[in-house]
Order: sequence, then C-alpha cells, then structure tokens
Amino acid sequence: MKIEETPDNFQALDTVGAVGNQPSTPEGIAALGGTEQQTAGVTQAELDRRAETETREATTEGQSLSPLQASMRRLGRDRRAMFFMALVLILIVVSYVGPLVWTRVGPTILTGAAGLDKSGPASYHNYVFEDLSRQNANSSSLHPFGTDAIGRDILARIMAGVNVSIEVALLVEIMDIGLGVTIGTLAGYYGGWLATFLDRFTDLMFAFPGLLFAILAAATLGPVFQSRLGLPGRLILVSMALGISVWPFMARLVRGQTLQLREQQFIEASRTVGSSNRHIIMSHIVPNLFNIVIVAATLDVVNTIVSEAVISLLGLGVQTPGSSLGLMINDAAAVIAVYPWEVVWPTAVLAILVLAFSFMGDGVQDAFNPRTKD
Amino acid sequence: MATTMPQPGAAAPAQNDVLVDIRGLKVHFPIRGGLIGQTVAAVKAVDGVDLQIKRGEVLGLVGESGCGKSTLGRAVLQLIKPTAGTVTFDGEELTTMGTNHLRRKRADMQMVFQDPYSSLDPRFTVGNVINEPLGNFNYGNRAQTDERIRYLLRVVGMSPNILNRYAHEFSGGQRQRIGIARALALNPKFIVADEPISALDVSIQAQVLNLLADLQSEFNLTYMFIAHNLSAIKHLSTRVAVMYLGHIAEIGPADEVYANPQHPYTIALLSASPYPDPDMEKTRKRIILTGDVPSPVNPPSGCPFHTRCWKAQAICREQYPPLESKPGTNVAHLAACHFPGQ
Ligand SMILES: Nc1ncnc2c1ncn2[C@@H]1O[C@H](COP(=O)(O)OP(=O)(O)OP(=O)(O)O)[C@@H](O)[C@H]1O
Ligand SMILES: [Mg+2]
Repeated sequence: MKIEETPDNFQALDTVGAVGNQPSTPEGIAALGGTEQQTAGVTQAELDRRAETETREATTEGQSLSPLQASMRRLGRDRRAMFFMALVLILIVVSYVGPLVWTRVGPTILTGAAGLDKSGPASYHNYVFEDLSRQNANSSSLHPFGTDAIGRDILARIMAGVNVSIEVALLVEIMDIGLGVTIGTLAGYYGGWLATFLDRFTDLMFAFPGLLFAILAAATLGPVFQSRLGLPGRLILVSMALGISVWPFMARLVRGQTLQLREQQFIEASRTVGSSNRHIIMSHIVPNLFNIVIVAATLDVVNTIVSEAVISLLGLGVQTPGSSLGLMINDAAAVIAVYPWEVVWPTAVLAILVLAFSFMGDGVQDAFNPRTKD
Repeated sequence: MATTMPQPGAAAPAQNDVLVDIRGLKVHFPIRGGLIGQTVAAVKAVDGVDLQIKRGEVLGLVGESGCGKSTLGRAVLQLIKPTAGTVTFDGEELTTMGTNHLRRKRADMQMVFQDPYSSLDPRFTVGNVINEPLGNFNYGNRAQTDERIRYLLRVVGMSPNILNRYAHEFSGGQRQRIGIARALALNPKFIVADEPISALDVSIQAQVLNLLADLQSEFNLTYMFIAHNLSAIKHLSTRVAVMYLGHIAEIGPADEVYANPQHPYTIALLSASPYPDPDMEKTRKRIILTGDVPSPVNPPSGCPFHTRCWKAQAICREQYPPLESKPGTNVAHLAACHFPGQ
C-alpha cells in the first residue's frame, strides 16, 4: 500500500522535504523536488570528483541480465531441455490444433452398423463418433491409429486425451501455485495460526497419499459432479482433488524459502525506507520465490499427468464418451490380447508426455536453481 | 524531557538539541522450549540502555561481537519492538507510535547495513533499490524521480549510468555506496550505520568511511555509528559509547574516552587496538581479557563485566554500578564502574 491513500499524504512529503524547509543557506541541504537545487548540499565540483575517483570500474553504460534473463539464457543453452520443451510444445499444439484439421480431412464415407449412413470427417474424425461398421479397425489412411472397440478414431481420442492431461495439469498447477504460494508466503512471513494449520494439514497429506485421496474423492463425489456439471464435472473434480493434495507441499517449500528470505537484510532495509508488509511481500518475497516455484511446479506436472491417468484408468476419472489417455488404456485393456495396438498408442503417448515434461523439468531445475551458476 | 506539545504563543516546538533520546531500553529475545513452546528464557541483548544522541553528532558505538549493538540500533529505529523503555525521536515517542505514522516517520531515520550483499535485493536494479524509498513517499513523477536517483548516485560517487544494472555486478564497496544512496534518498536526519565497513576490503574501508564523513557534514546528518573496535571510529566520532553485554559501560566525548578511559573494559579494548599515536603506541601495554563473554541469557549479577575484570571486588558481583561521571573527568564522560580509572 502506498501512503497516498492516507489523508496525511502531504505530511509524508513534508516530512521528506522537511530539511529543505529550514532557512536555506546557500550551502543548505538539497530539497526534495527541486532538481535545480539538488547540488546545493554537495558542490558540482565535488560530485565530479567523486564520480571520477570512485567508480572507474562501473561507468560503462548498460543494462545487465536480470536473474530471470540469466536463468532463461541458461535454459536456452541446455540442448536436451530445449529438445524436450519443444516436444512438449508440439504435443500441446498438435492436441489442440490437430482436431480442427483432422475433422476436415477425409472423404465422405458410409458408416453405421448397417453401413448406410453418409458421414464426413467432421463425424468420423470426431473423438466421440462411433462407427459400428469399423470396430477395432487396423491402421488405414482413414484411421491411421485404427479404431477402438466401438469404432471411434484412436488418433482423435488420443488428441482429446492429451487435452485432458494438459487441462488437468493446468487446473492443478493453478491451485498448487495459487494456494501454495499464498498460504506458504503468509505462513512464512507472519507465522502464527496459519503456520500451525499448514503444518497439520501437510502432516495429514504426508500420512495420506495424495493419489489415494484423489481416488476416494473421485469415487465418492464423481456421480454428483457429473450430474451437476456434466462431463467436465469429473475432470474438475479430479483436478480439485489432486490440487488439494499437492498444494501443501508447495506451501511448505514456499514457507521455508520465505523464512530464509525474511532474514535477509534487504527485507529490513525495505521496511526502513517505509515499505508496508504488503509491499515487502509483493516486491521482495514473491519475486524471490519465482525460481523454486517454477522448478517445483514443472516437476509436479509430471505427477499430475500420471495421477489423472491412473484415476481414469480405474474408471473414476473422465467417463466415456469423453476421452483421457488413462480411460483409453482401460477401454483397450479388455481386448489387449487381440488388438494390442489399442493399448500401445495411448500408453506410448502418455509415456512421451511424462518423459518430455520430466526431462524439461530437469533442465528447468538446472537453469533456475540458484545454486547452479554458470 | 521537555514536553513536545507546542507552547501557547510559541511558533514551533523548541528545537531540542537531543535528536534521539533513549530511556531504559531493553530488548529481550524469548527462547522458546518445553512441551508447548512456552518462553523458557530470554536473550537479554539490550538490557537497560539510556542514551541521548545530539543533533549533528556522530555517536560511535563499540563493543565485542554479540554485545547487542545491532539490536540497539534496530530497536532505536523500531525495526524490532523493544521489550521495555522509550525512544523519543525529534520530540516524538516512537515505541507507542501507530504503524502508519511510524512509516511516515521512517523518512527521517535510516540505516546503512553491515552486509552489502544481503542488503540489496538480487532482483532489483540499482534504480529499483534507490527508487523504493522515493516510491513509498510519492516523491514525484518519473522524470523527477529519475533525476533524484541519478543525483543520489553521484552523491555517493557512482556513475548514474549504472541505473539498470543489477547489484550482483558490483563489488562490496560499490554495493555499500548504493545502500548509502538508498538511505539518503529521503533526506533523513539520522542514520544508524551498523558496521558499514567491516565487511569490506581493507583498501575500500577508508573510502567508504570518508564518504560517510563527507555526507554527514553535507547533509547535516546525525549518525549512530556502530563498530566493533575503537580505532575504526576514532576520527569520525564526536562521542563514543562502549557497550558490554547489553549495557553501556562508558560514554563520553571521543577524545576524553580515548585519552582517559574509565571503565576497565574500555581500557582493555583500547589496549587491544593499534593506536595511531606513536607515543601512546610505545607506552601502551596490552591487556588481554581472559575468559569468555558471558551468555546474555544468564548475565552475571552486579556489574556484567566482573567475571573478566582484574579489578573486581565483592561489590562488583552484587551491585550494578550506575553510569555516572567520575571524579577528575569531564561531566559528559560517564562510566558504569565501581573502580574507575587506570
Ligand atoms: N532475532 C534474534 N533472536 C534471538 N536472539 C538474537 C536475535 N538477534 C540478536 N540476537 C542475540 O542478541 C545478542 C546481541 O546480538 P547483536 O546482533 O545485537 O550483537 P552485535 O553487538 O551487533 O554483534 P556483532 O558485532 O556480531 O554484529 C546476541 O547474543 C544474539 O545472538
Ligand atoms: Mg551487529
């Protein structure tokens, strides 16, 4: 909060300028605000002498790399991290843009159990479209990855499944970072009951695995969420359950870092120059949390994607006709002996997604970890 | 102390020549323990300090590591809440002041920190660092603020071109100058300089010390200058206070204290520091203090120095000696000792 909100605003300024209000001698103190007067306290010659003698080393004009820029540069130099980051981006872009293209590619064909319905790619390349004349089809130009047991295009379902993985990861990270950083910072900065609550809650979550919690939540509340919110209800429920189980770890990490930061003299210096607690938290604590939060969040994404797949694999997550990599594996498991490819495709994509995120996470960790300096 | 209310008919409160008036100041840090984290003991870092700092003077505060100098300085600026006692700054009582009022008051009292590394936020540019106080006090528009920052950088002997650089690119001495510019930004009246040169290279120390001395006269500043040995502050201080285990052991005009130390602890400190005067250097005998500094959790009874004092008698263990003027010394020269003098 700036002091401008207080009615005494100008008193603050007066205080600042007070020295300048003293009967000013030619050698008086530089008054704030009067730029032409500023050299009153120190003569121009003296300023020149100081600039001359003291800072020979640092006179070159310039802008240096901010800590963020330095980290980004380190990350940019890490070939492996860049490769996997590109892979992640490609997967995301393909899973969102792909369906738009895919539903426009292909001839008009005859579909349906009797093979009498005329359908275009907008139908049969849609991930929910069932073509009972093409069940468990092999790879073809129409369905490059084949179709599943009720004739849905596997490529379309994989793209929809990756969307779900990304969306759940995004929702979970929003909760993880939002709650974790807010509560962790406040608990670290102020301590008190919030810190006690955080400790107890984290202990609880340590004792009670997050995945198990999410499974129980999905099993008990799933039907309620689905009937209230429709198909996305399950996705939201799973995200919330996973979010609730991960944020305490983020909060604990953030709290530890906040406790360390709080002891730094620049915090006290900020208070000395009239900063409020809010200003200190927003401009000194939170920006200095950036590195550990970004590293932790990138690695959390990996767990989230796996957890969502597991929950859907158990049939507790996204429900058919919706798609999810876990659900696809579950659907295909019944026919694995006959049509193994139906399991292989979603599993492979899940593995690539998870590996790409975790290798990228390693790179981010190396680049942003304050202990690795180049 | 005289009342600070304006007298009827008086145009303004009389300008008192005491800028900072510290009375009975105590800072005890609780030590928590036991089953429910109750307070089991306290570190008595500052344990009853009375001290007046006059306008325009440089009060040197010396003492061994851990005797409570920084704690005293921080308590004076209300960066830690004192356990007891009062601090009156420029006629206003700080210990009972409301948060917002105190924040406004902070413009007048600043601090230069000991550690030039930890005292600058690594995510701030030099410009951000100096802008922080100006922003907090709505100094002016961008152009004015920018002008002010450039001016302050030149005042501390840095080139204004470094505005967009990050602190990690600078040496300790340069960082300390940036910290000094921040402290000067709001035109303070009073600066606590907490061992501002002790973390610097010896070759840089004199430069920064000289800068602080120049600024003091250029900006009519009052300093509380903390150091851990007497020689560091000799040529800067108008008065010197010697601190031992949370108490002021001796205080007086600088030349008086250096020439005629009363408290055995001061005598020992002086004997340990190389004295620039060659005559004194020849005759000085080193007094090596034996024993450790007692713990501030359980300070000794009576005079806190008695456990290491070669003059200690029974009374020293029983009674805390009042801080008072000793026979044959200047009236402004006070010592807390039952057996003062050489
Ligand atoms: N925040 C704190 N919590 C608990 N104890 C503290 C705290 N700050 C200081 N102390 C203790 O108070 C005593 C005085 O510390 P202080 O930092 O004031 O000493 P100092 O004279 O400045 O020493 P130095 O020369 O090393 O800076 C020490 O025993 C220290 O351990
Ligand atoms: Mg200290």
